[in-house]
Amino acid sequence: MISRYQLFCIMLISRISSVIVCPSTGGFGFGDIAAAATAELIWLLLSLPVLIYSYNGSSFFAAAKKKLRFLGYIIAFAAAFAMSYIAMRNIIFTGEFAQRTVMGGMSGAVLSVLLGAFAVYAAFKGSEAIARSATLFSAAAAIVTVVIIIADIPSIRLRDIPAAQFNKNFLDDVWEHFQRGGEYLIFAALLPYAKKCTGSTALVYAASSVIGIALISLFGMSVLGEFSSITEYPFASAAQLADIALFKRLDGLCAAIWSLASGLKSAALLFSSYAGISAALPSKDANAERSTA
Amino acid sequence: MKKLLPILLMLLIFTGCSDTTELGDRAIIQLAAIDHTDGGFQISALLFSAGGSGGTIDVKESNVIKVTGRGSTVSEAISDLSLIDGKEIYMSEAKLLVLGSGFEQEDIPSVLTMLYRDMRCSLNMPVCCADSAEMLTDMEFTEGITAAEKPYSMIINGNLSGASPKTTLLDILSDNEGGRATLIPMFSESANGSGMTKSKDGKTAVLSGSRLVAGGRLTYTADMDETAGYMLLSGLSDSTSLSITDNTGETSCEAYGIEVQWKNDAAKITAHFRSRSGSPLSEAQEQLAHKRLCNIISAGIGLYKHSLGSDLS
Repeated sequence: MISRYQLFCIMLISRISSVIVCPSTGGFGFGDIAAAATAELIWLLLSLPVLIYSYNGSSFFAAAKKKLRFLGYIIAFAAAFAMSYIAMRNIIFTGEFAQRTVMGGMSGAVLSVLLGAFAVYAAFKGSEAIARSATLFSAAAAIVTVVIIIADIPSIRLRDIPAAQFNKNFLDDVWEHFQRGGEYLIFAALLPYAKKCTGSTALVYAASSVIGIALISLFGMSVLGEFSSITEYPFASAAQLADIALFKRLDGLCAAIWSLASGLKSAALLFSSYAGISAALPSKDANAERSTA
Repeated sequence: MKKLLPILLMLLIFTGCSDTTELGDRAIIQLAAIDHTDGGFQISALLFSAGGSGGTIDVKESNVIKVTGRGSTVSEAISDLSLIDGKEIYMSEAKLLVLGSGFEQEDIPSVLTMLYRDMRCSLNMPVCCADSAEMLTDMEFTEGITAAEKPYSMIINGNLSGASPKTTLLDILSDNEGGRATLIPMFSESANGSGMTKSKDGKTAVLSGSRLVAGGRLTYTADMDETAGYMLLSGLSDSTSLSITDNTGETSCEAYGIEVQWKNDAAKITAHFRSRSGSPLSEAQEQLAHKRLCNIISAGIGLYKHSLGSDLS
């Protein structure tokens, strides 16, 4: 079994890693943060049935299959398909991120294959391995991120950041941020594996993810200015500017830790898609794993 | 198969080793000067070259070599540079980028974006300009481990004393994206005696003001007073060095804590003054210093208004 704190770590590091690893939507100003917050709200609203049902403490997909029959199967398979799609998309983007930031000598496809192998292996190891890794990665990523922010303090300038711009690109930005989500699906699938976990974990995650995304976006905008809208990876570009004593060119460290964190997200998604389907399908193996977890 | 699969995956990691370049096969650029002349781009670069033998640096030997490449685009010019030198160009450690007057017609942000994305130049790389960009690469400065360090330290020192801006690659790209003008320091040729360079006729390069980068091109040329005034008005600096002459002779002093308040289209300038040695000035000297400061700020007003002008994108 995993604790609710570990589940929270899995969800939060998954969301934050997608902000750093996926290419920028090209937005600048509070409009970009508004798009991320809107996408998060949409995910939260779509996941309300899961959050409400989570207070019962049992598997959402198993309950959906039991009560809705065929529709329950559809829901489980649709969720598994969505999670697999997000995992594949994440692996491809992470390979490109690693290739373009630090590992210019390697092919992005090879990096994606390696990351995919890592994700499959981690998913194969099970929920507890993923949870332990997520806690470690969360701590390491938090330390690295704080070091980067501190090292970039001389480069931070209080700039006039434009207010939210609701134009035709806003819906595109919302859809892009929506595709980076999927953490609520992880929550739904891993709920049976988590002890004493209720919907409050997801609500705390919702607030934390929006705050985390806003802080990272504001950091990038204050350091890079409008350049953050034309660079692919604003956080990694900001990490390049670090120039205090030993802390120089921290983009390598940033790329390493967040690439692996993104791989862990893919692992969590792959495991969750398996867990969701196995919960919906009657299976001796799935029952045995839940009873021993 | 179980044991073979991890080994095969590990082998994939080594694919990155297939395209390695030894350090000795890299041309490490310390200073790059780019200009657009005769329908093409010319890049003059100072490359680090360890003089001496046995793997040690001999300080008595020259440790830079100058190479010039030409092409119809900047990329072609860099490739030409690589062909001439016989090494792979490495610009991540470039200390300074000099733009020539040819960029009055050519787009600067596109060149800087290429240098950042393809040549991995640092966003912190300072950028300056000169009428002839090649001038700085021809000067054989005698101070510093490499010849690029002297102009770089001139810019740093000028910025600290409020005489010259320090503009980086990031500043220009960010301001261009935001539709703002950027002020970059300007070097000119001068003769100030012997010693600064290996030139026997005392030739050297000095900061002589600045130029505006507006709409992606070099525009307005400002002298030292205009530059200092602009820096005070735009908040890039809050102090400046002044030189006053009274019946006691010439005195060098510093104005600090400068505030400019606007009331009914008139500027009220307040500042504190001190001599270079830290001792207070006499009342007459303070009045002279205040008058000099007002002249500098008045000179900067024109440049400041020009930077906000309608000719900007």
